[in-house]
Amino acid sequence: MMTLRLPEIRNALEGIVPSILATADVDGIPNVSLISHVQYVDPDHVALSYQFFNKTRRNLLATRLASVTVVDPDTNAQYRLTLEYLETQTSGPLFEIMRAKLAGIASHSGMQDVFRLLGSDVFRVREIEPVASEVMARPTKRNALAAARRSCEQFSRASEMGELFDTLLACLQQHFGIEHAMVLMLDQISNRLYTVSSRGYPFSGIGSEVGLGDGVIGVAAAQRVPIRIGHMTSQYTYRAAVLDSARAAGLEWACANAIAFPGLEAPQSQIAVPILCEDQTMGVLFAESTEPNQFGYDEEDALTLIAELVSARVALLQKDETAERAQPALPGSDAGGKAIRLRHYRIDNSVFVDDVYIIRGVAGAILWKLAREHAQSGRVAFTNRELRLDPALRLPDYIDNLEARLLLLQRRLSERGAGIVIDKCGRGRFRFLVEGKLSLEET
Amino acid sequence: MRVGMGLHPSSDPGKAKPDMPRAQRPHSPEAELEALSACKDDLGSGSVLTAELAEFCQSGVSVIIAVGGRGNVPLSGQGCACRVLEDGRMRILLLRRSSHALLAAADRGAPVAVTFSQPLTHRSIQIKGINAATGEPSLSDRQAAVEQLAGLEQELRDVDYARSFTEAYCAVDVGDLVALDFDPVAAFVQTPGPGAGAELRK
Repeated sequence: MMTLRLPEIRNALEGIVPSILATADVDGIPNVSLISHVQYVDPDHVALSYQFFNKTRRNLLATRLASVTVVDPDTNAQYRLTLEYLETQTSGPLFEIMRAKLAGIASHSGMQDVFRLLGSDVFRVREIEPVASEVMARPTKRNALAAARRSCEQFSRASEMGELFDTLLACLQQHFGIEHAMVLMLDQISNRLYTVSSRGYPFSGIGSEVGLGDGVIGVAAAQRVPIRIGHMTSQYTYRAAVLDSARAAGLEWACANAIAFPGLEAPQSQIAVPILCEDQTMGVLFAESTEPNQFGYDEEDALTLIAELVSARVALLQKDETAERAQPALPGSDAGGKAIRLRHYRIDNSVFVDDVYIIRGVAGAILWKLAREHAQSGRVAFTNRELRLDPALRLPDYIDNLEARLLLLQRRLSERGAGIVIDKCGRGRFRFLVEGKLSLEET
Repeated sequence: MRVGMGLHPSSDPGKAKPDMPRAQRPHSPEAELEALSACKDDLGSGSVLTAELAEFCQSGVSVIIAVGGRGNVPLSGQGCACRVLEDGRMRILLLRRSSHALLAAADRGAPVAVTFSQPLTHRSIQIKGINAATGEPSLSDRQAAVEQLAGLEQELRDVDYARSFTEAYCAVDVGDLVALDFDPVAAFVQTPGPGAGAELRK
């Protein structure tokens, strides 16, 4: 018979059925308690949540040994694990993964005022022993690996970023049955994530922002690990977080202009997977559901693979465009038409078109630059490269996400019917088309 | 999308369902200690259990057990039911097929700990025991196991576990039951919260 290994029993490590934890003191007197969940760390390690300084804790520090019985919620298969305590982590990725999961479990079990994670106790798994139980057939479920492969085949054919993200979200719907998802990219200057593509919401929310560390999206971006929750919890909502951080920054007026975050009102399951580039966060792939416990370890693995490929694809698209040469300016195309009034606020680079808020931050600065040059010389053709080289825009040297910022700008202008179009015309080149006569104001 | 997770069997896919907390008014360690100090009725001066605690342990709640193993490696497991015997000893009914190691350790004289926990309220009590011995359960023990597991199954269903899961989790083969008896020597409140771990002394 094959020796049991941890990856094969991960479904019993979801915290859906509480686990039984036994420890003993130095005299061998046992202690037994139910614990909310055992976290899978890697094929040889698990972590337990340290919430109270109690007898279990004292025993662990004294003998460093534990026995835990876990239950697979789908099959009722049960396993006894012999564990050796190694260390306690009180911050960092594992701690944040467990804190988020515990928040969902606590809220679901009515213990949100009691359960609080003090640390993640990491254990080496010495032995896994099956425990006889009434085992049910495993319910049919989607093959996450096959779904990941089909998705990757489809979105890898995209030739520009907007198409890449839109196809990716369509694939999540088609192959994973994920109805609500979005892609956010990180602005390293403001340390905020902004939505560039979404699917399955009443409004797109393109341009809406999430602060680093806010909700599962912000925590995944900050910690560079996937974060997921199986039940609704008020500790990880965005609406409140976004407005609070805007107020804290003294941007009262910005609250009125903030683009609403499109997320579900009452999500049960949420998963946020960082899109990394050389170990730095470039963006986040986020999915959610109104049903509980929709994203397990397999879904986390599949979405992580997908995020890896998205990152590689984005890097390739950006690399291709940097080789492009700047094109000579073309004559303007805005003869006649309606008057379009742009107002730019220096304080945060926010831009309004005919009193309608469009965008702020780096994307706002780009829009203002393009509009000024267009108004002064009638210039239409621009390149990504010249934006990168413009010191006034202050793009970061590393992972500038310029393509994502242009995509955001393009979509916001289009959604708001601003009469201004960013028209991609080949890799690294675009046209700035104005359906009228621009007038510019700066405040 | 996952299909078979244990919770919310009645969920209509695609339809939002409010999340019902499992314990809307969870029990607390303070409440346990207050109830004990107010309690006059007990099972005799030698017992660590009040009549109310004894009733709680036998009411069809979750029964989990640990037996001291070799070299301070404890063994964790699950019981089916509990009975408080006339002589004050406690009897835990276990399934033999899933408890071989625990039973062997108990027969070697290892100390035991048993925690009783009610899913609906999180109310939890831990009993420590010595002088453990295993034996054949009586007919009434087997009947008690069936009844208490039925009670636990109803509680689990009330906190939203799927019927298919609760049926398997609480399944009992009465022919496979074994009795593990011990002398209770101490009781502790183990309901999560401030005050958890306090000894219940009369």
